[in-house]
Amino acid sequence: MKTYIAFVLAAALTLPIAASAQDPAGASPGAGNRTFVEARGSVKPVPLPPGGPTPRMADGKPDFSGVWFTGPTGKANAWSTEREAPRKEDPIPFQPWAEAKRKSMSRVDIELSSANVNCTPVGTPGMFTDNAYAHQISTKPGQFIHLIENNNRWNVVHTDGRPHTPKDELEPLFYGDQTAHWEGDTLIIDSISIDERAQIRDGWFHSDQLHVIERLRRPSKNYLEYQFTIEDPKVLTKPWTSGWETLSLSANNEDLTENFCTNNENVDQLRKLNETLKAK
Amino acid sequence: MVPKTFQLSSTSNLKRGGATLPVMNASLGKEVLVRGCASRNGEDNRYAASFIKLADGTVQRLGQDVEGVFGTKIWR
Repeated sequence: MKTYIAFVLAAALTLPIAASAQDPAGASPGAGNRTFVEARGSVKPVPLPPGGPTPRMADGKPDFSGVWFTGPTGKANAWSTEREAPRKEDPIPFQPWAEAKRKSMSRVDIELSSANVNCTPVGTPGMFTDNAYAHQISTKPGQFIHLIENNNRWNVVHTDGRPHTPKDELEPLFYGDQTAHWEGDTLIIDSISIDERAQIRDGWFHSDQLHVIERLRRPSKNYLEYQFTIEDPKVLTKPWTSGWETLSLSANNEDLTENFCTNNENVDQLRKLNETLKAK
Repeated sequence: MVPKTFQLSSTSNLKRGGATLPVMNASLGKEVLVRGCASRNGEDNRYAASFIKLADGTVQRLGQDVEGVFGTKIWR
């Protein structure tokens, strides 16, 4: 699963337990009395069939409406019985200073820059790229509505090809100034003027010149595909385009659930960890 | 008895994975076994949980598989 750390954010539980933490050999007290049990995820990664033709709206464009999970199973794959294969993508063409900065960041630094750790908006393209939870999309002619379970965030984009806001009226926004249009059956969402705190992926920082082009298509009833391009002349040497990511329609007709970032201890804990590591 | 605090996944992930409130509540007051990693920031009795073996012997995943033992026999 691509964003492991994001799953470990929300809850803390206090129980009277026997902990086997840092005990890979199972050498906790009483270990000799225990029997082997196979621990594994509960979701077998069986891809959904195509499910039929692409549903279409009244204007003939693809209808993306539905609840979607990342991956091909139509289910949350956080607990998949198998690890997700990494996408095949070109290296990200960071400028030398940006590459040096990224290499200087510890894993803790990267986590501390994460919207999911700080409970701040993920923004664009983070709604798709920094979200391990379910999506609900509703489309109608001229409008794309995107809800995500992760902190119950939402975004609405006009898909009628209207121009961007005039340059002198732009202000930094987490989702940016967005416009969208169709190229055949692919929806193109174009975003500029994006707040520098908006997330791309895994500690990838960006400048105020970030330009994001997202592409969505629904090749069949059960599948949605997503790709994004990053242009950022202050950070990259050239534009970079991701691989296509597969999302699948909820196999069990699930709803999004309430999911809010509360009782968040992550920032304090990570800062303590950073202090501990730097003191060594 | 020493209280120990475990960081878990979100409730929506737990529920979708099978660790629902009734499943977890069935082990309240009983001995369970949690596998995870101890905090590295110096705090005692604080962990990030990966799996829990409940009182009935069933195993539920709770968080990151930091050891990479997913799908292997890890309990004894």
